[in-house]
Amino acid sequence: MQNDLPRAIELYSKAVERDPKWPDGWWFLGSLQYGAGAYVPARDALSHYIDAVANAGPAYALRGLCEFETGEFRPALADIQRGISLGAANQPRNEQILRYHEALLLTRLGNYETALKTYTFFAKNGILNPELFTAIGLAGLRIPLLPRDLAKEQQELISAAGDAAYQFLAADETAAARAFQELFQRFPKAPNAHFFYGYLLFATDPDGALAEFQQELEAAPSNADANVMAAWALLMRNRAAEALPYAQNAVDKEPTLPSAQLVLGRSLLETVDLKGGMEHLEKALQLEPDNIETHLALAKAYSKSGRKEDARRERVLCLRLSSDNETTVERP
Amino acid sequence: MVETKEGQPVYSVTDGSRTISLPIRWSFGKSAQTWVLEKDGDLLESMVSYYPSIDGLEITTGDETLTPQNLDEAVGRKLRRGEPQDCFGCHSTGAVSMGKLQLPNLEPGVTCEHCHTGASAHLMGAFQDQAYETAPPDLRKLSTEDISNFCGQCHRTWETVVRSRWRGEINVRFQPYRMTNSKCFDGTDPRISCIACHDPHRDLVREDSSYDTKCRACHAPKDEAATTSPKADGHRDAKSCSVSSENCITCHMPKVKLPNGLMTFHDHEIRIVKLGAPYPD
Repeated sequence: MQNDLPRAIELYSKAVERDPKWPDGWWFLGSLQYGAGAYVPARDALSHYIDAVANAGPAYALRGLCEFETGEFRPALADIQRGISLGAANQPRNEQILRYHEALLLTRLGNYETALKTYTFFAKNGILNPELFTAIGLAGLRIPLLPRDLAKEQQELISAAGDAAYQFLAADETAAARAFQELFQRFPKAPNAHFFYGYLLFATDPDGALAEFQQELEAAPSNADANVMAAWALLMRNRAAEALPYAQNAVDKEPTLPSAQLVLGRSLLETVDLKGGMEHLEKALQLEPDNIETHLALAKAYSKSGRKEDARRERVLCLRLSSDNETTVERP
Repeated sequence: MVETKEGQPVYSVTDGSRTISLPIRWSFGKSAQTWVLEKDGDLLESMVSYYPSIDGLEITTGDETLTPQNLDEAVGRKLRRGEPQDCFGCHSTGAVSMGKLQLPNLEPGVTCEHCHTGASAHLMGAFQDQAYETAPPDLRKLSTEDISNFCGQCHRTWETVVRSRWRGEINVRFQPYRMTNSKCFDGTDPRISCIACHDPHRDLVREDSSYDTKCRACHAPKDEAATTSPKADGHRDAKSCSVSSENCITCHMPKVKLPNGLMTFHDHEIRIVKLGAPYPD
C-alpha cells in the first residue's frame, strides 16, 4: 500500500530504535512525522539527525517549522534562520515557506522592523498567499500575534493595513499612498496606522514620514516608538533641537527602550551636551550592544570629546557590524 | 550624443531606428560632468557623463551595473524619491529648502549661502546696521569632528559611508570618511581638520608640495618644532618621515583610481603605504 504514513512512521521508529545511530532513519522519521502533523516527535527525531550530521540546513529548517507549530517561537526562529544560512532556502518554494515563517516569528517576537524587511521579498516578487496581508499588517501595526491568533473583529483593519503596505513594498508608492489614506479614513483611531506609513516613508521621504509620526502622536502622545521615530527623522535632517523633546518623551515613557536612549543621546550630542549625550548612548549600548547606530553616535561623541582611542575603537566596531549586515545601498 | 542646438545643449540617445533628445537642464560636476534631464515629469541622471580624463563620454560613475532594457531606460536613471534633493542640495545653492526641492530658487554652483546659511540675510542686515544681529554661525569655531561632518554633508560623512556599506576604491572620493579612518585623525585637533589643508573659498590647490607644511605641523623634522595648537603638545612626538620631508602626500596619500578608471583622487586615509598592500577599507 502506498502513502501509508502511519505504517511508514511505525517502521522507521522501529528502525531507529534498533540503530539509533542511523542518521537517515531519523531524517525520514522526522519528515514523515512533520507531514503527519506530529510536531513534537518530529522535532525530537530531527534533533537526533542534527546531532549526527553537521550543518544539516534542511533539518534545522524543518525542526524550526515543527517548533513554530508547537509554540516554541524563539528556538523556531533560530532554527529557521540557521537553516536558511545553511542553504535550506535554495529552492524557490522552500524559500517562500521559510521566509514567511521567519517573518511571522519575527513579528510574534516583537522584531517588527526585520519582519517588514523580510516581507519585502514577497512584495518585490509578486508573491501572495491568503493571509499575507494580515501577516504584514500585524508587523506594521506592531501587534505581536500570528495571523491565526487574531480576533475576527480586527481582521479587516489589519488586512487593509497589510494590503496598503504590500503595495508600498512592491514599489507602487502612489497606490500605497491612496490605500493608506483610505485606511486612515476607515479606521481613524487605529493605533500605529500613521506610524506604519511613516515608517515605510522614512527612507525615501523623511519629511512625509515625520508628518505621519506627528499625526500618530496627536492621537497617542505616549507612543514611545512614534516619539523615537519623530526624533530620528528630525536628527537626520540636522534638526536636533527639535528632536530633543520627542527623544526626551520617548525615554520618559520607556526608559528601557534602546532606541529611545539612542535618540536622546544623539539629540543631546548634537545640541552640545556631550556629557549627557554620552551617558544616554552608553545606556543604549548596555540595552542593545550590537546596534550600529549607537556605536556610530558614540564614535562621534568620543571623537568630539577628544577620546581618540575610544572613538577609534567604536569606529572599528562599526565597520565590523556594517560588514556583518547584508543590507547594502544600491549605489554611492 | 551631446551637442548644442540653437544655443541649447541637447542630450540624445538612439538605437538606430529611434532617437530620444532632451534639453540638458542642469550640469553637475567638475572632475566629471553629469547631466540632470527632465522627461515626462521625472528627473533623470544621464546614463553617460563627460570625463575630461578621456575627453569623452562614458557610463556615469555608479551606474556601471545598470543594463537598460529599452531606449527610454538608456537615456538615464530615474532619480529615486529624495535623491534630487541630494543632487541639487550639493551641486547648487538654494534649490532645497526644508527638505523640499525648490528649483525656481536655484542658483548655479556653490555660493556663500550654500555653507553659510543666513549669509544673504546678513548682507542685507549689514546695510541696515544689523550686521551683528544677523551674523550666521562662525564655522571656524567647529571642532575638527564637526567640520568633517559639515563638509561631509556633500563629500559624505564617515557615518554615511559606513551605513551605506560603500566599500572598496569607490569610497576614495569620500574624503571625510577616508580622513577619519586615518590613524592620526583626532576630532579635536585643528591640524587635521578639512580646513587645515583646504581653503573652501579658493580653488583646490593641486601642487603636492604645497601641503607639506600641513603635514609638518605634526610630523615636524627633528630640528623644527611642531606648530603650536591646543593639541600640539600631545603630538610633538609624531614621527618624522625617514625618507623625505617634501611631497608627503605623494606617498602617504597616494592617488587612487576609481574602479572605472576615469577619475583619480588622493586617498585621504593618511598612512604608510606598503607595496602591494590592498586598498584599506
